[in-house]
Amino acid sequence: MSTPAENEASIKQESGPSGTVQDKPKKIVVRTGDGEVFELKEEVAMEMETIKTFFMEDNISYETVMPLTNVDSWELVKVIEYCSKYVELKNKENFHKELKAFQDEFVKSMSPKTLLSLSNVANYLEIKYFLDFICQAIADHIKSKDVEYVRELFGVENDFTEEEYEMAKTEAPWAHENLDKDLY
Amino acid sequence: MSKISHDTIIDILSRLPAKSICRFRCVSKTWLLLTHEPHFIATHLSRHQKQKLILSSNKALFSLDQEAPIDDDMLPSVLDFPLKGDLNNQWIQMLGSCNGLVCIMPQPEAFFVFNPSTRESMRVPDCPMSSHADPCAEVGYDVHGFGYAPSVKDYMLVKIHKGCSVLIFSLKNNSWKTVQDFPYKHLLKNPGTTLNGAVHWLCMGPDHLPVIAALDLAGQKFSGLSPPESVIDSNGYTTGVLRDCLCLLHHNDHDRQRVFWIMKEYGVKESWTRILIAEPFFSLQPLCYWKNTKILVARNRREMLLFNPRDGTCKCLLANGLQVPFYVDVYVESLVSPNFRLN
Repeated sequence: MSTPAENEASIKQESGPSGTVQDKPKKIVVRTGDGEVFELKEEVAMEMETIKTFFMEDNISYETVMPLTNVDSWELVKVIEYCSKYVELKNKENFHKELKAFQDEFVKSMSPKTLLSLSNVANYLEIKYFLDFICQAIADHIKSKDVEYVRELFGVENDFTEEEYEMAKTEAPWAHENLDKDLY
Repeated sequence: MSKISHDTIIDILSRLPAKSICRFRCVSKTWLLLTHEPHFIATHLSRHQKQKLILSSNKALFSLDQEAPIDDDMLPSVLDFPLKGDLNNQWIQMLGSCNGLVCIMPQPEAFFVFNPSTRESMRVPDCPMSSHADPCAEVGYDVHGFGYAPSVKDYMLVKIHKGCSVLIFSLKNNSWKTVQDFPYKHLLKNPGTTLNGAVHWLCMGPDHLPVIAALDLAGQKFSGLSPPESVIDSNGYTTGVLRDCLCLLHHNDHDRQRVFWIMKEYGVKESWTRILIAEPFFSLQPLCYWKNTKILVARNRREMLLFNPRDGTCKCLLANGLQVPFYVDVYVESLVSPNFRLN
């Protein structure tokens, strides 16, 4: 893998006006927090506001490798998977139906915790429809789960004393009934 | 895993039904505080605008959900409400609903504002007027209404005492106040219809023509709306609302009707439009849009119809286990507390 200095050198040689029309589809290159380099199709990369702003705001050349320090490679793989599919289906007639089918499979392929950590990435990369999807998927998942499960999933510490917890529970004891039996 | 952002937690939680949120208030003190914040409650409300039904039948209350899995056969759920099971209960009268709060009267002069989704309730203090004999009594009964005034962020219960004195109870101030005398005559015995921050009742104006009295809740003043030209007698009509449009329906035990009126533009007499419905009715109450394309109406207090506004055709929707006759109103799921002034 080339060093940052070498990258700088090659950028200086090849950069040109960013508005240049090229024959082959444009690629945007990013580097994740764990050091992996990804090449994204321009149309997919532009779905992510953070990347879009980085390149568009100051007319930065696509030769620049954008650092995504807060994103792990496995997370970016998942994001690219979702956004590519979304872009592919966007203008199709059965958009909603096909997207729903893809969403169901996407959720099934991940554990709730990994789904939740993708919400941070969706926030950081500013992909509104992806964040929307993740939040709804998590809401659907936790809807009928009990308090312990949700604490575990979100990594929230129970700061109630035994007494305080019982008091809080008496506000709506009926809300703790008829929950999902298969918890984990 | 790095910590989930505060905004994301709010985003996720605001999508949950009230029951889940009531439970997750026990997750931690932070979550308890967060889910009680007015901003969170407002966000949650904005995500839960799909109307549900609340039905009053045989001294009990039930709810029906558009999202319930079975399409034609609905199973109403029994609702908990203040004074449930009390031996003195009569018909649970429903006086109006706003932002998830419903005002009910399970016994004469016993008013409650409650949220069916969180089961929180408050009892309205006794009205100072109700026990007084009124020399100017126009009619022998009291008529009520319940609504929300967005400009003052307050919920109000209106009582028109014997057709002449008007009193308003403010949930925010927890007190009754007398406002102007009722300016019209022949007030009919149905609870008011609420929309646009005003409560509406059908009655008779000074020129002996029917008029729709509209009480603006924030300003606490009456104005009059004109019914359609061809409606010349207020008797036998009721008001209703369908997605922010006022409706006028004929309620008659002898003649079967097939038409109801909808005021497409609020306050504009010319915008009254006739809606034709294929099935005849003695009484009809428009409820809400059902799954975005059809209109749900209650017919003759005995059944519910899914009505296609394009061609007037109807399909019957069965509500299993519901005794007839029943009264019905719409409400939304929310976390709004009837005791919000205490927070």
